[in-house]
Amino acid sequence: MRNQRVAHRYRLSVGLVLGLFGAFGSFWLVELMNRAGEEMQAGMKVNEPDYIVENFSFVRMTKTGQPSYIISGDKLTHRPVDDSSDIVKPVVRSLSGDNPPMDIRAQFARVDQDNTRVTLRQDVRIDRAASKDSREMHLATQALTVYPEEDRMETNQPVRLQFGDATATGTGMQANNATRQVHLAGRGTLVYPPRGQQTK
Amino acid sequence: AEKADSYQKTVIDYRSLDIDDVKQIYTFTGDVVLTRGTLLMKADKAVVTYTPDGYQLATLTGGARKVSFRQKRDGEGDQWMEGEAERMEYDEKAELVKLYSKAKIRRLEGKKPSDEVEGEFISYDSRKEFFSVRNTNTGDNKPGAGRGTMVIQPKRTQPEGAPAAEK
Repeated sequence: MRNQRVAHRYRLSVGLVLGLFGAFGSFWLVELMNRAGEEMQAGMKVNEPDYIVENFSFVRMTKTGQPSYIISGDKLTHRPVDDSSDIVKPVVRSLSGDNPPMDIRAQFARVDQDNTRVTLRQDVRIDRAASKDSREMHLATQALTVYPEEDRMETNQPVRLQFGDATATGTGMQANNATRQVHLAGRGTLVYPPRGQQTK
Repeated sequence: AEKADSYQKTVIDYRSLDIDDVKQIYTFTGDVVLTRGTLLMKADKAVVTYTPDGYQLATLTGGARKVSFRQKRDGEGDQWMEGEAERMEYDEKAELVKLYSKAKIRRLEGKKPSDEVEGEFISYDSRKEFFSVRNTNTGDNKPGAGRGTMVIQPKRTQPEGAPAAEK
């Protein structure tokens, strides 16, 4: 009779071992999966671009289906590691509300932070046509950060701003295109041209 | 004032400038220096707006220092007009400078000050070189609200050798 009591212990321990083997096995598999994931991640860490687009145009729509702003350029290189894109010869055209369209050009640009920030570098130029209640505007600087979603832009570089026939300079600028307010910092000068020969 | 001034370009030097493009208001702050031809104005803050027909209206306010202006006067010779006040308004169309509270205007021959006027409010028409003084800093005349003074320098000097008048 004795082995009666022992028999079930044998079957029990085999079951136990199998269970343990299953547990450790799956744990080991998960580990394997993660490591593989990391390797892929590591691959991305090397900052490899995952796609490159030539002569592209990226249009962002507002909720009402109107185009809100268009980013185009000669070449866009997207890097998944931080979901950023580098653009050569970018053109950012913002079409906010009833103001005339404003074009921003530069040599290079980087779009990051989930496409909410565009940092333009080298020979940045902004041109906006005149409209019924505002004068023609041109701006030249060396670097500019644009937040298209919030329709504002800023720079800490020297800036030359022309509106109508007046020219203003400064070092550092914050501009809100929605309310069309511009703050120029740093010592600067504003030059109004001589008034035409008005008959006195 | 110098006739040619009104056809010169206006240069405004500032530490910072805020432009409101919709309302066409330009706010200059930080040691603002406005120059146009011989006209020179200094202030801590200046707000420039545009009249519908495109003329500038500038309001300059002084902080620690008073607002000051200096302009060459018409006519030959080295004649200048200088003024200072706590607040100044400059109307480009009428070429009118209004000086508010503790205002002072001086006429200078070269460096030598000649006539001087002091009052709570002075309006100076730089085109006709006509200025009027009021005794309240709102620009109207209220009896008993303070006095203005004017110092007129003698034009003729006392001939030497003549006995002094008040002997």
